Amino acid sequence: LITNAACIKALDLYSDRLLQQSNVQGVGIGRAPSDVVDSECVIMVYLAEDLPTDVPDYLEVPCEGGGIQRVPVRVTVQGPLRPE
Amino acid sequence: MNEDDLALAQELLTLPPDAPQVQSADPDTQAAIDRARSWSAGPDVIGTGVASKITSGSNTNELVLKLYVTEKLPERLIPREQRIPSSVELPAIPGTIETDVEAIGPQELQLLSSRIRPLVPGYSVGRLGGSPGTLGAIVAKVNAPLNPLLLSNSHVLAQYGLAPPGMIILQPASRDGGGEADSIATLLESTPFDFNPGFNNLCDAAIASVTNRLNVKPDIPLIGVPNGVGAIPIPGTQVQKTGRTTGHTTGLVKDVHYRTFMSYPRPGGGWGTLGFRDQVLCEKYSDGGDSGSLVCDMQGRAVGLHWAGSTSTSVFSPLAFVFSALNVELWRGGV
Repeated sequence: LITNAACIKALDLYSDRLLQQSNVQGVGIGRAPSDVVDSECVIMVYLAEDLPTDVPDYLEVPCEGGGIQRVPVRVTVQGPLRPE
Repeated sequence: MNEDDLALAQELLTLPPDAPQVQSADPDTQAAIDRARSWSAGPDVIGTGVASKITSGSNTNELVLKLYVTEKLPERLIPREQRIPSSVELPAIPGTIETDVEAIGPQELQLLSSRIRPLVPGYSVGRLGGSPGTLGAIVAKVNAPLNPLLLSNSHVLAQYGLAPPGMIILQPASRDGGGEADSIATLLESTPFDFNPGFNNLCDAAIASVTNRLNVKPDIPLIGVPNGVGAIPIPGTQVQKTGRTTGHTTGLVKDVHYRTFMSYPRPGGGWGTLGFRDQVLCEKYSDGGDSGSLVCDMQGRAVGLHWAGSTSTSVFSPLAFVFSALNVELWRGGV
């Protein structure tokens, strides 16, 4: 089971790289939607505009006991973020 | 009773009889709604909601169905059918729905960009010549708890951290008509920004020293005096704020691990990228000019400081980060 701890580890490993993509504006952790099995949560990628992206479907994180966990990723459009 | 059931009860009791939600209810529930309409839509009720019950002026932390009236009248002056019962039952909703009648005075369109004295949070504020934001809360240094300070964003009070201490703060802000005669405070301190790579920033906040400490009240319109500081709400729970542009609004928490990069002006000139982490992303509850609003949970506990938004979302910083960075707490001098 992919836990919140695995999602936080994925954020630590990949946030910077994901946010380097021009249309990616934010990343975070969301509840796993019903179509996602074996995971409590997903990595959320928030886009400024509804444009195609190169965001992967999964992010691989190392397990403490060895091996790799694949953390699912979901993409949603947020609109351009600015200080208000 | 939980918040969802109370919100459903509010909907059923206040929608018109021909609303689909009422029409699709079972016959017993429809009959109960019909019986309740004489008081739920009575002439004295100016609003309804779901919030904490207030008993003898104190917040009980018990969520109930609220019925807001201009003023509370003696029962003998209210026709029997319009008297609001202390509880009601709807067969479609398990349990008893407790009610609470709260007098909130006459309702009027409130412009939170106007001048307000005594100073209260929720209204327009800004530095001299700067863009408007919102006065979020009255706070105090931990080592001087009775000395009131104004809390808002750094980009509102401190020009993104570029303004020197002592900068004049206006209420309302310049763009809302404020001039030097509306000077209320001077900038004291803002949270430092870290432009190094990574997600090193936790908040965008500043405090200002008020010129007249007797002219300050901590009551936020339609929220009240913050009921202490609460934990970060979990995703799916509702939060509220009162701000200069959109007034009192609510939104659902979506993500409590939100990270983002933002362009901010650098102290030496030009622009740089700031990485923020552990921010709280919500469904949209704000717009430009609401920056600096205090975000509270639905029990009135302060949980964050609003600072950014997009076309579909709003973002606040957990209040613990703000309070820790500025070494402040909620002001206790006004209560």
